[in-house]
Amino acid sequence: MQFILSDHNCEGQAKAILHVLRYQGYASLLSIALLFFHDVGVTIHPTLTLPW
Amino acid sequence: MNLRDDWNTRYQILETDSGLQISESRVMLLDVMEAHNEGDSVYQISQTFNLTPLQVQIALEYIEKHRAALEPQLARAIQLRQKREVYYQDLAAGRWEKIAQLPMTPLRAAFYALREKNRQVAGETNAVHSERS
Repeated sequence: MQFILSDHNCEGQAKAILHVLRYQGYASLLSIALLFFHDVGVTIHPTLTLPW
Repeated sequence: MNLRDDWNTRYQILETDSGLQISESRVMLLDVMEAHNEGDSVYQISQTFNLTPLQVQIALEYIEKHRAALEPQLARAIQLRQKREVYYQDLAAGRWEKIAQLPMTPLRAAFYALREKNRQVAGETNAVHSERS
């Protein structure tokens, strides 16, 4: 499984892209999953730059 | 200070090295402006960028107040992004050429088949839309 970590300030765009990848079958074929900051235990602070 | 004043000062538009930014976020004002110009609602913009509706509202008020100055900045930003897209598309094309030289794998074969299927579906969908319009 390959994980893609989304930035807090583009979660909507990341979800939309993954939705298309799922709908077209690429996400399951390539084993792609989307993660958000809260999934990996990163405290969401709006100005956070630490993960990058 | 009344409630309206309190709302108006809750968030600010900040000048940063990267450009105008909405406070308590890393969202650029021009991104919100582009989404709004394309017809996105306050709700849709707040969903896309994980902003509160009040952050979006304050950004939109700022945009309307400074639209004349911001329009050329947005046009330049879009132009820059288009140039960047061309650069990365060229880079991707080069990589596809290298990949094409490699021996075929089952995963790649499955990917090509899926891509072809999706292209056909997209082609049929576009044809239906063309007939209707």
